[in-house]
Amino acid sequence: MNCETFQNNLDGLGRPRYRGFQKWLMYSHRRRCAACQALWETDREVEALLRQLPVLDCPEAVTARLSLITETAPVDRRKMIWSTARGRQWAFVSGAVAAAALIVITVFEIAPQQKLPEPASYSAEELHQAREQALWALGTAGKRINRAEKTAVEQVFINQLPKTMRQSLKQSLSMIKGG
Amino acid sequence: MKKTEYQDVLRETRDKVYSYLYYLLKNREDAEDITQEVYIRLWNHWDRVEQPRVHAWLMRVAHNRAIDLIRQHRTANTREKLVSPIEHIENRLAAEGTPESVLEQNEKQRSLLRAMDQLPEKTKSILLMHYFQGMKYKEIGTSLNMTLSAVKVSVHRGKKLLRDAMLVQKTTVLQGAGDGNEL
Repeated sequence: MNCETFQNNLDGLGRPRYRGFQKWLMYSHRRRCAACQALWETDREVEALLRQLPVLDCPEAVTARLSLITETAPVDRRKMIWSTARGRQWAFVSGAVAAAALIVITVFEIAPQQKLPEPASYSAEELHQAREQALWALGTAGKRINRAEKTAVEQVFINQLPKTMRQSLKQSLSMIKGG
Repeated sequence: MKKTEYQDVLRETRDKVYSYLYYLLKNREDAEDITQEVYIRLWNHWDRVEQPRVHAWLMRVAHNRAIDLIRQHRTANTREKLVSPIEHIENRLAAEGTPESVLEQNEKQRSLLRAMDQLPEKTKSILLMHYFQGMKYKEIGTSLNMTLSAVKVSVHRGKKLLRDAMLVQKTTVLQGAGDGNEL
């Protein structure tokens, strides 16, 4: 037996099938190896110390409070669900799942059964009128947008410039526009 | 009937559960709070807890709550401020035998507690369950939802760390004594 096997067997990680024989092997190994002997002694010591850790008295106040709860009425499970965070979580998740199921049923089962309205049919004259109206609305909107854009540029950019610079800029612009 | 049985379980197990939590959490108030929580939960779930396994059930709940609390503290960076429980249990250490043996035993207990501070919480919890609470590997496995081999490996690792720490402490003490003699 080498030191590594000895250390593994020390904590019962070796094969339990050969427990008796291994015990003897470990005994003979530690008689030959001082390091493993020291390890074995420390191991026994650690185990003993862990077992002998003092048992502390639970404070009387805690015991008294715990004895008091036995005087309370049996817990209502339905109320308890709402009183704990996990219970509320579960209730929320269940509600969400139920709502999702309802939506799926509505979409795939009920909705296809409802008949959609027949597509409307319009005459050529009505369509022409609608086109004219749409073009007029687009034109008006376009003009207003252009005007608003021009005003914005004037307010934000041109009006901020010094007067002389503004005048020269206007002249240059009119020259450019004039060709 | 339920009340009497509950009181019996409380009387038999409260000190062990409280001590386990105290060694794990290193804080008296936290240990008290969780002990209280564990037994309130036991009362609320009394009908669903199998009576022969009540101890394992208590340990599982205590362990889970303690680990949750440690994680919360770690997130809030408050865990490091806690000290090892040596100071609090000073008067509970060995008080029998010759003064020398009492001193030696107390010093060993202190070394062990100091070494235990270095262990990961889960490993410490498993070691406490096995040696301090006297639970079998199988019971610990059932309680913590771990396989038997995982429990064994945890015990092996924990003990190895403790052994190494104790050996280092022993060597330091011996070296200190050697230096003292030379002077």
